[in-house]
Amino acid sequence: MAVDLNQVAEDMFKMVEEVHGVKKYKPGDVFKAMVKKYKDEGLTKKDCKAAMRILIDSERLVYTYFNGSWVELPGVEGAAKAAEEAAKK
Amino acid sequence: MSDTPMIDELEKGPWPSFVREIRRAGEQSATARDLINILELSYKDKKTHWKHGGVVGVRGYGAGVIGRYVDMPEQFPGVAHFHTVRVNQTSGFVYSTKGLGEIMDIWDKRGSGMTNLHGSTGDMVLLGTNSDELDPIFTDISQKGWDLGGSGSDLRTPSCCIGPARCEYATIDTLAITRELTNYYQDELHRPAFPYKFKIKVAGCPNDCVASVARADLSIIGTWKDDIKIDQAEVDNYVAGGGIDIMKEVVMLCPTQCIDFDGKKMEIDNSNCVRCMHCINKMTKALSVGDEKGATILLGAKAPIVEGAMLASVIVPFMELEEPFDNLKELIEAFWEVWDEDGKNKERIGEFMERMGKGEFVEEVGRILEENDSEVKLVSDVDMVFHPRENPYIFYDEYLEEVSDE
Ligand code: HEM
Ligand code: HEM
Ligand code: SF4
Ligand code: SF4
Repeated sequence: MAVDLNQVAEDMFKMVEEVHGVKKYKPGDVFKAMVKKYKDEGLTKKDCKAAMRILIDSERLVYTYFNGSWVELPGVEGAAKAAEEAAKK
Repeated sequence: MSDTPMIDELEKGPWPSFVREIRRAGEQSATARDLINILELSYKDKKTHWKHGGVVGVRGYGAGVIGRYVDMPEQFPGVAHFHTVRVNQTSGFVYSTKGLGEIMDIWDKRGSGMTNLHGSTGDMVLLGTNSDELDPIFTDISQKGWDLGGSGSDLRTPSCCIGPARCEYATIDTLAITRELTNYYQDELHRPAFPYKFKIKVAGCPNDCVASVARADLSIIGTWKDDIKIDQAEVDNYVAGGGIDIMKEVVMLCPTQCIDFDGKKMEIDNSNCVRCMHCINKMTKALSVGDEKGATILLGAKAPIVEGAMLASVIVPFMELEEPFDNLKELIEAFWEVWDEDGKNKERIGEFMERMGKGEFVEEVGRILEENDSEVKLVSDVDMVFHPRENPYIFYDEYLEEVSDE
């Protein structure tokens, strides 16, 4: 395969970053977009999984769960903040 | 008066009581004590005080931890965080006391000490811990050889009946299948990439002790192809013993009425036997499963969440299953590919199959298997019919065309 997985990972990251705070993608949405983009290079879903793993292991993206599983930029959710503040008091 | 009058009601009577159990855990755990308090408040307010925590997890994994917070952390600090950790169950739920002890030690130290095993989802479910403890828990259990289970839109930890380890009815090695699938599909288990959850349960025979037909997206149920084995001498013993009315309790209850019994000799018309296990369960010594062993593969069972409950329906009537189960893996991956491509968020494979139409689903899976040079062939078969059609006035164009072509 001719594609550099780091490049694919970078594209995936951009895709998620672009819609941050507006819309969420499922990992499958991102994979489908990449397979389409790198169609000529023959990128497979397996490659996409490997590229996603680069992003997750480096913590540039995180898996989240809210009414289904998603990939998003890391952030602290409201409920966790409230719990932390309560712990400080 | 007690602070928790409503909860106290649930301790009364001779029955098992989760309240009693949580109170016992509360002797050591502030989390367990606050759990009781918040529950009382929920009963009083008639609303939940739990909030989802969608981001918590361990580094690298997208599954295995289910985040929960309480919406009144100041009043209930013990349950300010109350995350659940799922740990892979063993095949057939066979544990050593030592192994369980290690998990419980870790959980007493880093969690609430409260557990739930095993519910429908499977896994050892460890209830109630803080975000800060998650990575240390992961490290601790990993060092003892355990791993986290599935959660979210991914493969859930496969589970099975005890099968050949203890049960003579088993026609497939449920334990080996479960272990192999769990290890082989690590990525699918830990890194959610499906439209929704996917559960696999493996039963050694049609008795289906894991209730896979009702609880798993993919049910693998042992069966046999040839004839039920009859030991006539043992039939004679049952007749002589008189402990069972064979006519009334066995022959008349055969769902397809395919047993012939004249008071002495027993014969079975195996072409009409639907492998329901009834006669074998009743006359264990005289009757046993055949020699050509394999499994039926079913898809689509689920409990009511987004849509109503569904039972599984047959996709492959008979399949031999031998290690390393390549045929099964190829089939499973083809199911996933079709579902992954067009499944909507939170659409279980059973609902997806119904929306797409089973005929088309089968064709599409068959096409992918062929494309991947799989030995497995998927073709429509009368055994796949879940339910005969109720309305004879609906016609399917493609089948009409086939007729007019003749
Ligand atoms: C000797 C008199 C009759 C004969 C031999 C007869 C015969 C039949 C037959 C063979 C059917 C088809 C059943 C099937 O779908 O398997 C049928 C259906 C039907 N008949 Fe009759 N019938 C008679 C009288 C009547 C009368 C007097 C009425 C109404 C006033 C009637 C109303 C219907 C209706 C509504 C159906 C359709 C039922 C359905 O599709 O579910 N029939 N009849
Ligand atoms: C508003 C009034 C009526 C309605 C809504 C109605 C509805 C129907 C329906 C839905 C069918 C089944 C058609 C199919 O499945 O292809 C049917 C069949 C039939 N109806 Fe009616 N019907 C009405 C009035 C009548 C009356 C007044 C008669 C006779 C006096 C009648 C006699 C029949 C018969 C004999 C059939 C069977 C036809 C067959 O099986 O080929 N219907 N009707
Ligand atoms: S499902 Fe069948 S093989 Fe498995 S434990 Fe039950 S009776 Fe035995
Ligand atoms: S297994 Fe069930 S269907 Fe088959 S002969 Fe026995 S009772 Fe009848």
